[in-house]
Amino acid sequence: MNGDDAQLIARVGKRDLAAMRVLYEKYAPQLYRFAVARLGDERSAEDVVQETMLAVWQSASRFRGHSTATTWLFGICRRKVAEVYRRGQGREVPGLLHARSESTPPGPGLEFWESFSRLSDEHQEILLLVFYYGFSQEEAAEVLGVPVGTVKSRIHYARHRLREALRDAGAEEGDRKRRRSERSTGT
Amino acid sequence: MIEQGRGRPGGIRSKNRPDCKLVTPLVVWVANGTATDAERAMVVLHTLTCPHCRRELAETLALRRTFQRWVERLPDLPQRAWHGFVDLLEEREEARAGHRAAVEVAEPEAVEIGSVLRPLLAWLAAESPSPAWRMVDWALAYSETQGR
Ligand SMILES: [Zn+2]
Repeated sequence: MNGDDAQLIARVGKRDLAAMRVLYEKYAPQLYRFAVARLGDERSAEDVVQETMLAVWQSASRFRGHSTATTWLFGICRRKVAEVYRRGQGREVPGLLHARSESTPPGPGLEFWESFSRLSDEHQEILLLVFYYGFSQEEAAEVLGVPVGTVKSRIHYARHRLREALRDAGAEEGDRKRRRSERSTGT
Repeated sequence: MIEQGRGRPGGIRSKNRPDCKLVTPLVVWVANGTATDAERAMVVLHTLTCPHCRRELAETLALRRTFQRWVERLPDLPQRAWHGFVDLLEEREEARAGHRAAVEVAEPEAVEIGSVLRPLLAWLAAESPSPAWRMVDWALAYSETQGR
């Protein structure tokens, strides 16, 4: 694992708040994106990040470096997201995308969100880890706590499901446009 | 996309090529940049002659780009987050310290039962030296042999 991270975690294990801040500033923004993408809610995502970093603070002295800091942190974070879902607080409203649609640059937005949110939790997780964070097979397996073989098959199916969902969303959008134009020409 | 060439006589049924089975699962790792040099070379060489896998690679790269653009549009962690974390840390540490203190009050050091019983029995024996209290003498002697 990255020597800097190992040293940082060792210092955090000795209650070094300055080291904790370095670790926080390096990883919390990455974890936040993951949590927002999974939960669709900024408030819950921030809570998940704080709980993840709190778990890091409390368990850093037991960290033995069998995994990298990155896979360790993401592993904790995904479990915290799962806890939110178990409590029934996840993905109520994809409100943040509406809220930001005015200010954010053009790009895939709500329709992508809708397609992504139709996927299972497992497929969402693996797509984020592999396509956004660029984890290798072994790293993804470590984060998810599954064998590498499972990662390989899961990413295969996740990719196909996402493509299907995007195709369906495109078809629905096409239908809506067609109906709108039919209505406007009909009146 | 999997059935490239389907229904076209003479179209390339690339799925039938045995090496596609080896290449297809590697495409995603080439697209995300974590395949080994050997794996990448194998995929690239294969895609030169296999339209199916070439398309698979192009689609996967496009999907990854779309995915990245979408995630990058998500909001950033608020600036105040670190301070919020420090507040939470203090709150939880205080709660833990409070809990420890409460546990210490609720569970005082275990009292050795003999230290209570022995003086009580001795007092009873001294106050009532009747035969019935021989039992007490005996109990007292026994408890001393047990070190309690
Ligand atoms: Zn092929």
